[in-house]
Amino acid sequence: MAKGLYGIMLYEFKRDLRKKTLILVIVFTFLPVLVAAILKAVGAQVEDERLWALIMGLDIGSSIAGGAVASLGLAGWAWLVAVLYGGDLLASDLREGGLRLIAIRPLGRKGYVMGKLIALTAFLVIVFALAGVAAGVSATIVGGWQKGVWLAPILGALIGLGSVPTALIASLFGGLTRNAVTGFILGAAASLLTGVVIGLSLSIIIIKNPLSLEAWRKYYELNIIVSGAIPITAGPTLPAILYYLIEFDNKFIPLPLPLVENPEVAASLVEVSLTPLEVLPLYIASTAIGALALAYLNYRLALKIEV
Amino acid sequence: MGLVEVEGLTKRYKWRVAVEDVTFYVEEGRVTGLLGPNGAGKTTIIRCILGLARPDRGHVRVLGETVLGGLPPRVAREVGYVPETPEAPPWLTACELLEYLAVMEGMSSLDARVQARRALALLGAEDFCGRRLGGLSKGERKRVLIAQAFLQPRSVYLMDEPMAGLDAEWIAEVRRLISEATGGEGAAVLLSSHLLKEVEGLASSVVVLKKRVLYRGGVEDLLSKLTQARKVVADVDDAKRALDVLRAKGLKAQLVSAKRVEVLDADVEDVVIALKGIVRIYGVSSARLDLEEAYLALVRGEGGG
Repeated sequence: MAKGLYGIMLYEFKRDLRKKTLILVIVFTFLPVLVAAILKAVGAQVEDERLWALIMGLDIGSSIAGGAVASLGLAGWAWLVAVLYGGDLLASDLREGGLRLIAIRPLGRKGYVMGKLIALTAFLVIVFALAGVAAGVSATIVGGWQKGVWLAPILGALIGLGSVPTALIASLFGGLTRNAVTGFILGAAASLLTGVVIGLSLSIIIIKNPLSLEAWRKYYELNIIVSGAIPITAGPTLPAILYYLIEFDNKFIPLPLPLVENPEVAASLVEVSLTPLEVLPLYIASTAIGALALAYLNYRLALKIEV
Repeated sequence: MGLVEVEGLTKRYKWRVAVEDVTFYVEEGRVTGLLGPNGAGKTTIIRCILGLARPDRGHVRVLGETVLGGLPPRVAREVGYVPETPEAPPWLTACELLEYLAVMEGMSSLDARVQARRALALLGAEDFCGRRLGGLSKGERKRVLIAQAFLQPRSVYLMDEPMAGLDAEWIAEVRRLISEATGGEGAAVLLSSHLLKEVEGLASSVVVLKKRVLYRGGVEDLLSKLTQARKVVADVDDAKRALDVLRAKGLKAQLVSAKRVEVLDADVEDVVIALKGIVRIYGVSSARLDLEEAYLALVRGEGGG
C-alpha cells in the first residue's frame, strides 16, 4: 500500500511540477517585490519592516504605497493557483487516459485519490513555503531588516494549506464535467463569488447608515466570523489571522472604511473588538473540516467515474 | 470455469444498451478471442472485467474473486491490460510512465527502473525511454501501452485491440508475446479485435459479439461453420434494381458493383426466379464465402453458417 501510494504521489508531483502554473506562482511572488522596489525608488513610503508580510499579502499596510504592494500580495492570488492546480486534478487523468491505467493497479481508486490529494496538498504547501522564503529574502534586500521574517516560510506553507479547499472544489467541478477548463472556471467563480456574496449580503443587512462607524465595526466583525465559517474563504485568510496574532499582539489592524461622502468618516479607521485568537479556532476548524469534506466528495466522485 | 468469468453481463449507457446478457469464460493457458464489429461492446466488457465500468446486471469474477467497482488488490497484480486507444499522460516519458506504474504495483524504485526498461525492450521501444509520450506517434504509444501490461508476469491479460495501429513487424511481435504468455506462463488472455484474422491462429476459443453473444465456442468450429456459408453471385444489367427486387423478396442481397449483386443463404434457383423478367441476367453462380466475408455476414446478422 505504502509503495503504491508513493508511486501515485510521485506521478502527481511530476504533473504539478511540469505545469505552467508554476510560473504564475513565481510571478505572484516577485511582482509585489518589483512594485515595492519601484515605489521605494520613487520615494514612496512603504512599511519597510513589514515588507515581507505585504509581499505575501498578509498585511494590508498603513500607507497607500504599502496598500498597493499588499493588494498584489501572494495570499490574494492563492485561489487562482489553487483552481489551476485543482481544476484538472481528476479531469486530466480522465482526458489523458491516466485513470484507467492507474485504477487497475493494486492500490485501486481509493489509493489513487488519496495519493493525488496528499501530493497536491504537499505540493501547494512546499511551493507556497518556498514562495515565502523568496518573499522574505526579497523583502530583506529591498527593505532592509524585517520584523518577524522567520514566519514567512511557515505562513507561506499555511497559504498553501489554506488554499486546499479551493483546489478541491475546482477538482470536483473538473471531475464532474470531465473538463479541466470548466473546473478552473467554476472553481474560480465559487472562490470569488463566495467572498463577494458574503460582503454584499452583510452590507445590505447591517449597514443601514453608511456614516455609522458602529455599523461598519459590526459589518467587519461579522464578515470575519462568516468568512471564517466557510472553508474557501477561511483557508486563504488563516495565515493572516496567525500573522496578526503573532506580530500584532493578538489584534487586528484597524480596517479602512470605503470612501463615503462624509470626509470625517472616510478618514476613519475601524477597530474591531474581535481578536485573532478568538476566531483562530473557527478558521482552523472550518478549513480542516472543509478540506476533509471536499476530499471525501472527490473520493466518492473518483469511485463513481467510469472510464 | 475460467480465470475470468463473465456471467449475464448487461451494461447500459443511459438508454443505449452496450451489451446484454453476455456470458463467457477465459481459461488458463488459452487465448480467447473477443470478436465483433466496432460498437459491439468489446471494450465495455473489458472495462467491466477491470472494474472501470459497473455492470447493470450480471457479474464478473477474476481469479475467483468478484469484481465490484475495481479489481481486488491481490487480483490487480495479476492482471495486465492493454487499452484500445493509445492515450497516456503526454507530459510523462515512456520510462517515467512505466516506472510509476511499476511502483504503484509495489515494486521498489530500482526494480521499477529495471522492469520498465525490460518491458519496453520487449516491444522494441527502449529508444522511447526518455521521450515524452505526447511526442510519440500513435503506434509508438501503443507499443508503450502494451509494454506496461508486461511489467511483470501476469495470470490474466486483457487486450483491447492490441494490434490496432501497429505495423506488421510489431503485430508479429505482439502475437509472439501473447503465445509466450499463454504457452510458457499459462496465462489466460482475452484478445479483443474486430478482425477475424487477428484472432485466427492465436485464439483457441472465440466469443463473437454484437451487443449479445452471436457465437461462443472453439475457433475451429467457427471457421468450419463460416466456411460452409455460401453466396450466390448474379451478374445483371441493372444491379440496383436487382438489389431492390431481391430485398423485397426477403433475400439477404448486397450490391457489389453496378452490374453485380451477391445474395447470402440463397439458392441459385431462387435468385433466378426472383430476377427473371425484371433485369437482364448475364450469369448466376454459387460460391463459398471467404472467411472474412462469412464473419462479416455473421456479425451483420446475415447468417454465415
